[in-house]
Amino acid sequence: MKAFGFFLREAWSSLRRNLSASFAAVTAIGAVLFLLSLLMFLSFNILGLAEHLRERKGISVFLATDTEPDRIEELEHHFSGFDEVEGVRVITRAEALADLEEELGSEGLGDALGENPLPDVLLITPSERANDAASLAGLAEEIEAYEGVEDVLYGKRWVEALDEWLRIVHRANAVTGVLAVLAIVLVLGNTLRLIVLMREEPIAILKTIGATDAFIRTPFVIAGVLLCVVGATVALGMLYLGFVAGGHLMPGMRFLPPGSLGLFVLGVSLVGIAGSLLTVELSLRQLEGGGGGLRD
Amino acid sequence: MITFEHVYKKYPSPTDQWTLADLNFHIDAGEMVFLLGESGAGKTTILKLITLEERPTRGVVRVAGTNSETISRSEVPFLRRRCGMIFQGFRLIKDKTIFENVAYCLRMTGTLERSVITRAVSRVLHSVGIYGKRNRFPHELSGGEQQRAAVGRALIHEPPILLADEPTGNLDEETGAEIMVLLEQLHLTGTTVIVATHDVGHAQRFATRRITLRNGRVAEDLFLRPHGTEIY
Repeated sequence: MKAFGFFLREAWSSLRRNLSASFAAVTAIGAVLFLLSLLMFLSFNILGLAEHLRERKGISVFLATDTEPDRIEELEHHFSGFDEVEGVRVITRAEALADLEEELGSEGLGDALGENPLPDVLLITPSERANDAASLAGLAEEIEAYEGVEDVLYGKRWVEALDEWLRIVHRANAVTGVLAVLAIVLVLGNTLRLIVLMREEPIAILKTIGATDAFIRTPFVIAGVLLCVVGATVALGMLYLGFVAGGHLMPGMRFLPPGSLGLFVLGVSLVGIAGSLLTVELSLRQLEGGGGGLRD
Repeated sequence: MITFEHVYKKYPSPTDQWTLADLNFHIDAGEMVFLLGESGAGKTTILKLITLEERPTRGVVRVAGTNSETISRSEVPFLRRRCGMIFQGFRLIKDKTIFENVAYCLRMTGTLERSVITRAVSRVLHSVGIYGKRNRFPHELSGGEQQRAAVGRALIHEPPILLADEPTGNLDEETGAEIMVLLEQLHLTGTTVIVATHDVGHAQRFATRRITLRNGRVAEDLFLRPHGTEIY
């Protein structure tokens, strides 16, 4: 802990000595992370909406009109046992007719028709395992093959459209994430390289008097992580201010949960550690290559 | 303590000349050796080879149980801590006080207890006569005072070997003599002291042994008096 305190002070004084470079780095990292967090915020809300829609996603299984009640019950139990099925609800022909009469506001429709033309229906709610268009189609196809099943409907087109949108959101997240990581490493790299090169003489002295690579490297790595954490905090702060200020324009939208915010900062810190280690190592090797020791 | 066996050293240069060629000598613990020679004779290169700031092109350098051919990169800092270094240009960290410059050496070995650091640094700064200026920055001190601080920094680990590269080169005659007396006192406590210098006068007065280099070879290796003996 004492060692960490010492390295933290050294890191802070490195950043303070190069205040303009540090400020520029925090601004650049903050801007990149703001864009990333904005995309995260939008994705979070789109995924929430998709989840909501998925809850309403169901398969209607229309049975042949001459299906016996025993067979209906048998199918209900059988389909309930599928891994891809969360629940099965039976709507009998009589219930379906009553619903239709209520919907149309014409009581006695059944009497007028003479015979109830509506089939028994099994309403199937898919489980998490069938949450994409392909597995839903597979499930529908399997159910359709059962004896007594006449037709299966599940809103194929909108499920496929929803899946396509989710794929786009995931791809955009991945691409933006990778670009953000590259941008952070680049900004961090330039800033730390500048800081390391400005400390060329003390580094050469420390190496000569017996400092280990880890002792020399650690304050710079901590400085890099500090830049990233401050950048991430600024980005999330700006996002939150934007959310509070423009919340009324986005009804129903929710801010990122604390867990996601924590993961965001943790992820950025890890990128900071990796980027800083790489940059500092390369800069120190560059200094070693450039001499800086004694002269004859 | 220190052995050079058929050591050759060549730096990348258009002339393709050997800076050191077939160097062979052994320095015992407790000697006070002066390396003499013109600029470019290879004096500083010998110090760099001892601390492994440079590696021999050919041959072996053995220092306090280490071997230049087998030592790993991670072991080098520990070798350097056993070799206190003093430079012509003092090489103190400019934005640290004298106290912090010396304390840094302790911190890098993992000594972080404030009271331990204060006690050790105060003791060493007292011993080199610069305790009163411990809170000054290097640029606020004279050359002699900065060199004393550098000696203090070199001594903080109580190294068995002390290497000095032109330690009086930037000092006037009187201050230079004071620094040499300080090194002599360390030699008398058993420290092996190796001084690279142009100053033949200091070598005559303080050395127990004098190695003169010419064109990267030992031109003369003279034992002047038994080591550990006072000159007066």
